[in-house]
Amino acid sequence: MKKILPVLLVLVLLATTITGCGGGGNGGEGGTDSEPFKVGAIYPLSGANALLGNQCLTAVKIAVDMVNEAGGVHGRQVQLIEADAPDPTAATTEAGRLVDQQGVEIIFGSLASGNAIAIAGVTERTGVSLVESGGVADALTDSGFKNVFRILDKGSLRGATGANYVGTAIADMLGIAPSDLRVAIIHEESSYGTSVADGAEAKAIELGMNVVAREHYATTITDMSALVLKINEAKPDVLLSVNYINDAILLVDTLKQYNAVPKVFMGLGAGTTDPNFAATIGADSDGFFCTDMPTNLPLDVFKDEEMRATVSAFREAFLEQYPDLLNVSIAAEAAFAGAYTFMTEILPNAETLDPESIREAALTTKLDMTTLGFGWDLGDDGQNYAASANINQWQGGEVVTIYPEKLKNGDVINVPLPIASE
Amino acid sequence: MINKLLSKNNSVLWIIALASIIVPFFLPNRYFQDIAVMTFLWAGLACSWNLYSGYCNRLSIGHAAYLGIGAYSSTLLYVNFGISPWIGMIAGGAISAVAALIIGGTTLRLRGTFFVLSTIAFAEILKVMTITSKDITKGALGVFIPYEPGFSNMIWASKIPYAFLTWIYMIIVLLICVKMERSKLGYSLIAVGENQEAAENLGVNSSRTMLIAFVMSAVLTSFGGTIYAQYIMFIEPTSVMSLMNSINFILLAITGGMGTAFGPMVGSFILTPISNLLRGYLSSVSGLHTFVLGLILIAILLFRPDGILPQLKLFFNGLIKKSKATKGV
Amino acid sequence: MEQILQVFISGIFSGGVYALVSVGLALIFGIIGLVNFAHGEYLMLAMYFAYWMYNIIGLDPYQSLLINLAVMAIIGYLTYKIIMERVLEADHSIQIILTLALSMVLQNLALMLWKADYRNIRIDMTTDTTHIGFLTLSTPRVVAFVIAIGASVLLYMFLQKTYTGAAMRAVAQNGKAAQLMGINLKRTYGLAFTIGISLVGLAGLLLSPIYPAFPLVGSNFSTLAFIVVVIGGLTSIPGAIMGGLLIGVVESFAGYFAGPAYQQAAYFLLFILVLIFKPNGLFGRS
Repeated sequence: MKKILPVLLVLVLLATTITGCGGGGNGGEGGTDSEPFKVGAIYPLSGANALLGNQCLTAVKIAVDMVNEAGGVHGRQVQLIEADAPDPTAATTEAGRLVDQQGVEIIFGSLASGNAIAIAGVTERTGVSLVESGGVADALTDSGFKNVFRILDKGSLRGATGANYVGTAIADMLGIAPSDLRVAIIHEESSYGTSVADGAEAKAIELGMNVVAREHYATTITDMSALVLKINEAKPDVLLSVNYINDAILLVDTLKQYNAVPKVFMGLGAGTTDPNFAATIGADSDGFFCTDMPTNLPLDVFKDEEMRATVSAFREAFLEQYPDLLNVSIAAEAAFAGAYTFMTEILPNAETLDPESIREAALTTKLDMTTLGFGWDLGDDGQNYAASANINQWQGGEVVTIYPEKLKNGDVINVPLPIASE
Repeated sequence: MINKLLSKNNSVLWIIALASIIVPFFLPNRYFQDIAVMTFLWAGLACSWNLYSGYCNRLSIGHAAYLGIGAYSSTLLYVNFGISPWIGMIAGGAISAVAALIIGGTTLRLRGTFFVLSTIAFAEILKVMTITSKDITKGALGVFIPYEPGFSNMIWASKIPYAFLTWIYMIIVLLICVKMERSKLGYSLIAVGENQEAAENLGVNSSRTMLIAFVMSAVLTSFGGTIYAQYIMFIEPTSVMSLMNSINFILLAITGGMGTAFGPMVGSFILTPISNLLRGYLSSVSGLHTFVLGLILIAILLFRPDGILPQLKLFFNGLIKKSKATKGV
Repeated sequence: MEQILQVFISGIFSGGVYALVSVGLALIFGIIGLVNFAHGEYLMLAMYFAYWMYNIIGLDPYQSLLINLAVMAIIGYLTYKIIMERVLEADHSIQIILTLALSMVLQNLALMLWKADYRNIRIDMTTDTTHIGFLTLSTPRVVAFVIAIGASVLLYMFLQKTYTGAAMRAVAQNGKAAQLMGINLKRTYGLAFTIGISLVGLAGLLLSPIYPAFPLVGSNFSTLAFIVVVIGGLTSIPGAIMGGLLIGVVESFAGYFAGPAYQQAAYFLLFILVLIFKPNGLFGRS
């Protein structure tokens, strides 16, 4: 028995080395027509963000399947290789595995901005493209990366859009001048919440509103009584709130419990946009705003027949995998859009499938519309400036788009909220 | 029995340690080189942890705090003031030393489990402070290090220089551990670990001994933190100062063998590649790789709580005896 | 002033649940001397079980209480037999790392089997509030508090007034002597562990109308339970109860005055202060 362990040890080391030498070669370039075109997907599949990470991966898989059914990319079938990145260090190693070991040409990611920045470090030095559909931190496109292409809006834009709407339209509806309007900002403490809240606060101050409170909490919080009581002391008219789904529900429950619901609740994603939000809160959710990327748009928003069919097919395929969900989560919609748009609109425009051509195609292609509800128009920094945040509102368990005008499909209700205090 | 093994046969382990630098050159691609870099880095980190916690058997489950101090100190100095991380590393070490003096001064005299819990508490407080001091540390957004390769920046394009750096780090920590083992400080520390009262009766100033070792451990860990930051090029509070990282120190040390200089190195040589490869190849089922890792650890703890190193030593001893025997015939 | 009282009360109610989680740990540590860092994971398992009971059979957590307790007791006993019994004599360090590894295994097993989705149990009572004067109380939290404190007090009475309880206290004081008096050590340990796990399972069950089940839900509670137990005096049951309430209140006040970002840090700070100035705990024997 004593001898077995050292032998086992040696075997393990050997196995590791053999897998290393045997499995897959170095990063591939080009390749013949019959060789699969390798792409990678790096998401947190375990750890705190596993829920959305898995949904994003499913969405990307569906995109790849659809593309392959239609003939692939440049005549080559797309092969998706997935990786689990619970934190940025793992993201770095996994990006290395996908690029150096498996030879992927494009990486779809990342949900968490920290992961995105870590992966960007790897893709930058190897020329692989990172198509980002989840991380909103401004730093991702403000840091000079050449191979990062972000389809969704920057966090600061999302926050600013929400705050702007509050300071203009909502102030109007309440009949309170922006300089008299009291707003409180709550956010979960990760880089997601912080990015969006920063943007909201900056805009609120710019418009002259009174930011009477700003608090953040750890996403693992189990009791928000103290938070709600503290915020309520400051008597805000409007609450700007960035949460994930679990804490969003807890927050609303606690606000109701202490009769501290403000006149207007402006959610700034992602929890307040989650399909489960209204389903769990029930009828009281009517009137809650949720600023986020366009989500669950009715099909007639898409003028193009083909795009309508694509969106419809995607939603069907996704909900088949998640039968308990009422609608596709926004993270998954974004993940699908990023992958699908890149494979069907950008890559065909690339002369060849090498990094320079892909980058050229990504920057020069301009699209009026993608499956996310806005177009594709990258600046030199890789940020999609056609990306917008929509102002949505929950009405009768459905997300209704209020702004921008061209996507509007309903009117604002419940300002102020019927369940608001006093 | 462990002590008998301690004195001899370090030579074989030294050979393994020194020869290991060759491995990165033979690895087929950057992915494996990356694993090699992390293996050396964690070997150094785990040995740093072991310097205090292993020898006197008092677990610090908060060492990620020093990793964080090292990482944030050098990174903030570099990103804000352009100060080279080599100098930033020393600065980080100094800050860690001060932190360790304060923390150690207050908690080292606590009994076993109390001390362990206090280390968790301090790490957690430091993490919260880092997140809330947004103006200095950028809070949850994290700090990104721009890619400007150069020796003075401690940034390179290829993994090989990083492999050298982390390997040298590991060797230096090993040297310090081995030297300390044979010094008065080391004997005192081990004695305190075995039986504090008895050691004190023999004239050992246990609080001074533990404090010195604790500070050394913190400083060395902090150096590793700087290297970590310069390698990953992005730091954020929740992933650097995480409980998972703190636990990793212990896992590596205990797999190889706590309280021996080379134990944590062996632990890292085994576990770091395994955990990375598990995550890489078992990604299709969420959580499977960590599950398997946990099972492996439970197995080691139930069946080989002294770690793998004593096994290795017996194995090598056996080999050496055999060759001597055949020679004799 | 009214606000302050409200903050205090809501802290007390959270504290009740913390107390329940912690008395189980105090029992395990006091009698067996075992450090169990996987304690919170049993809370997680109980919450999942309550969810399945609700979702599949339609019993709300209070209705499935007894079945849930029984299941948790079995799981607790199995854990004891398969893993804990082997390391009873081992160094605390080994126990700590072993139970940390166990928590990794349980968390990821839950992730593998049940995915990361949040499993909410929303019953009518979930958003109910009770009003006493100007105070607002969340009904499920009041219920949780009452049952939690009740169970903790029951445990205390069990230890003080029954023969088995006395046997446990004897083992806690001096295992060898207790053995010489004819007490079966292993069986006592097994019972203590099982009861401890059942209690933390009960805590999970009480939380399920308020908070969803997901793989990582228990992880915070493990650390918190240890802090409560230390503040309470490591092996003292009344100490753990008081400690739980204290932590709840401290957390609540910190959240109110300093901000929710500092909630956890506040009780960690309290913990360190207690360790430095009153290492035997605030309520323990000196």
